[in-house]
Amino acid sequence: MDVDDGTRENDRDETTPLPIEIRRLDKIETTGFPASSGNSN
Amino acid sequence: MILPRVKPEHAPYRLGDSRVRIGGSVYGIAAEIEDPEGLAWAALNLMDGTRTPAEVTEEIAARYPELSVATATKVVNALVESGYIEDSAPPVTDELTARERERYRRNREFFRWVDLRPPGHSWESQIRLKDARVVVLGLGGTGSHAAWSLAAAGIGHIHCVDPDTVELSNLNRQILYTETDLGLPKADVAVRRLKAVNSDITVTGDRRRIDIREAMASLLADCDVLALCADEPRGADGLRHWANRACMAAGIPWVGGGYSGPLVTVCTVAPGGPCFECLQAAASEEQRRQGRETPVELGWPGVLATTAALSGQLTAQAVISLITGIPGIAPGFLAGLNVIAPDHHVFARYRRREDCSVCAN
Repeated sequence: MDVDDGTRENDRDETTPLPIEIRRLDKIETTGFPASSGNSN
Repeated sequence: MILPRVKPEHAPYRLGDSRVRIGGSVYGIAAEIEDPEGLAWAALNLMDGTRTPAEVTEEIAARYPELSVATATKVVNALVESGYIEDSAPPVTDELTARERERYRRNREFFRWVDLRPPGHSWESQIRLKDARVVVLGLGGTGSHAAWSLAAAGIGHIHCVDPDTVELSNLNRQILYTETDLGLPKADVAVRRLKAVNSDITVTGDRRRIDIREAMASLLADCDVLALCADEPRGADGLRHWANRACMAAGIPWVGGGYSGPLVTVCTVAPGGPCFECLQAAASEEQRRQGRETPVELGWPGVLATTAALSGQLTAQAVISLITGIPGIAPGFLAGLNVIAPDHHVFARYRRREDCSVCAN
């Protein structure tokens, strides 16, 4: 495991926002037929 | 989380160069990840059940040298805690037998799909069901379907209450009875049938008629959730009000389901309110405000097996939601559907009345 020694860019900035954002979708139009009719074992 | 992996139902895929869809295509579950650097995509692909979070972080930090280890750790933690990730090597639980794990494996996969809380292990919801005691009051159109579904789902103890006997006209919609049961007490037949569906649970019956308010409280002893599938006696001092008051006094949530012709609705009430009386008062006030009070009786008994089943199944789903904590019809909400008007979605939320004599305290 790399050691976080504070020399990398951004290490000293604890307020740096995450470079990803997970966003639950507000709305999804469902147009497809349901995938399973439940007859499989 | 020891060895994280993406849940199979939530397999991610890329949308263009900067977004990742995860959680499939079902509203309420699916999410998109803004991922302009490809960081989330890389981390998700590394989460294949063979690496620890620290090892995933190490690999990400190596691939993205401009990223601090602290930030890489946060990214990995955010993904691990997102609900789309599970542990590929969860601890083995001894609270369910091998037979129960086989019986309920599709339950487990359903809960894994819809429950975005970071899990300890994927059997937690099933164990909550096993530990629960549910009273099903009324074993007619709604109650027979609800009881069947709760038994199949693995509720540990179902107490079935109904004073009536099976009649021929019940058989158009009440799933627990057959022609050979005509004339027999519904509670007895229901216990026998539900035990045949699932012998791993406890099912008890009660032929009592709940026709006085005081009878309700004794029915709720050791009850975790009441499925109220009966509506008589009706009125302002009737069964639903008795159930509401007894449940609020005992701190027990309850679910009520029913139908009015093609319209099927279910409501959920939990301690702290808003309670059924808040709901009724708000609905009446809204009707008065809109000048559409209904001075005539509208509770006619026409029903198909389809609408009875929908009513029972929505009721059972709400009970399961209350017990497991998976998303569902939250307390204070009324939801439903109209089978002859698919674009008519029933959804209302009621607020607790600050002066409600039942739930305000």
